[in-house]
Amino acid sequence: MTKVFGVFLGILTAIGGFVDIGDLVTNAVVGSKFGLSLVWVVVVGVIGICLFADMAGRVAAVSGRATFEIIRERLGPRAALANLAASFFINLLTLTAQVGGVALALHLASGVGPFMWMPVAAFAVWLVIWRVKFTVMETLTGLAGLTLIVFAVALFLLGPDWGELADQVVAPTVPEGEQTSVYWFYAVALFGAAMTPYEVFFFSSGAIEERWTKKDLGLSRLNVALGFPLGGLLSVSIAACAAVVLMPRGIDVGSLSEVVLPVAEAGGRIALAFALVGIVAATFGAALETTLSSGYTLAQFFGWAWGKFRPPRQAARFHVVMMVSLIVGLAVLATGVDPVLVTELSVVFSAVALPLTYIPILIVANDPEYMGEHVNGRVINTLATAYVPVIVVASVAAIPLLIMTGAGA
Amino acid sequence: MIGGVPGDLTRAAETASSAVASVDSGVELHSDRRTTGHHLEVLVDDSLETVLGVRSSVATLDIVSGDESRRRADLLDRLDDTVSTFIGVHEYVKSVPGAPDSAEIRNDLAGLAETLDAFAEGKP
Repeated sequence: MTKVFGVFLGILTAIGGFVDIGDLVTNAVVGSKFGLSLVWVVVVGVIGICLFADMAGRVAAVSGRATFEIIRERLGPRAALANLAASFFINLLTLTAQVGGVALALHLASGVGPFMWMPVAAFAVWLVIWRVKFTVMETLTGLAGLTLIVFAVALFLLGPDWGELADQVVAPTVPEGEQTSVYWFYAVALFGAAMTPYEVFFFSSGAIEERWTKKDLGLSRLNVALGFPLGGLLSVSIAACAAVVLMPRGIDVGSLSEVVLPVAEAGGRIALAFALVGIVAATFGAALETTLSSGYTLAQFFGWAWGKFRPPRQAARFHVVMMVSLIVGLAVLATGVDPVLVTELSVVFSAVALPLTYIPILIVANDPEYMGEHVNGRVINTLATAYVPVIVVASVAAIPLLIMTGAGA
Repeated sequence: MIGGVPGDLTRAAETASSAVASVDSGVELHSDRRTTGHHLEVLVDDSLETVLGVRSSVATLDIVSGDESRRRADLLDRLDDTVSTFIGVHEYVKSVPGAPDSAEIRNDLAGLAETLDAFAEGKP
């Protein structure tokens, strides 16, 4: 019974933890502009992140070593440094977006300006990382994030024309008045939002934090295979709500206050309250994960002591990196930059850096020296290899599309 | 997709129209007690910021012809009306004495959306 509960809890946490500010904003923007005609990208992204997380979690559980430590050893310091630089930069950008997201959600809930909430959010992130146990932290934010299911409930309450929505999914087209280049820009952004590298660093480092062994591989695979696709459905319901309510009224989403309009329309203030709790939990959870990931990447690369399983004084540099990252993120937000813009940039740059993080994991997951009998199986390997050209094309196209479309404007 | 100054003016009108539609939805939900005052207030602030940003970019466009200049002046007038209406919505949320009621605001917003859409479609 305890084992079944553990499996259930793991899946729920994976669903609740899947959505972050990038998924929220990008899905709502896409839904309001293109309806459900980009759902296929979410499907591609979710399968990709499942493969990525499965390989990274397996590498960590089998070798008992952290991702960056192995990447550095396997690829050599020079290649690994490029990987580190890209990953750290993207992670910092994502961290900034998540802290901004927490502040925006609290602003919506309280009416108190986001600049007042930013330092509070950053301090709370630091405090939780300093004081709260890894498992408690991960489970609580994941479960609270589940309240975002209100978007799926809202979709049913809105009573949409399901046939029309299905048509948008099955026969995607670029709506009249929208440019094809903007459509592809958002396709790349959505792909980047679904396959954000920090999720994988956090997942694989979490495997070490929670002392996974080969025995835990089945459970981890189940969490990924069920939790992430269900989390993906949550993303699609956000896009669908925007497609049903905002798109027909000509509202192009540009703020979090617009993202929650369909929820309020469908379920009133109670539904809105659930959505706000979910957004705070999802962004706060993601802020914790990105802050930890900043410490993980740097400490693992340089061979410093790391992990929440160690008292902070035994992993001082790991904690200093996290504190400095939070301060840098806060400093960026203090310039007055729009957190929604930072979010949009972070998902695009996630796509840019994806080959640098995905390909090394694929190489290590196929290396019998590290993995023994747990190297990629034929099916996983065929799928994972088939994703390499997809990831490379998205990476190469991201910046030209960003410039051509003026960030999808 | 139209390029140059005419394209920029059209897109500016479309963006402002989207902000107006957004505020209109918020006012409707608020008057039906389906959303909170905080939400509407933030929605209006966000939309106001969008329209002010659009106004600023329209005002600084490099205009080369008299026709473009006339169209810009026309759009700036409509954007100024939008800003005034949004300020009225702010007063309504804050229950400022003498603030317009929700029906009046929605009427104004509908008129604004019509004029902005007409501008975007190139109609007078």
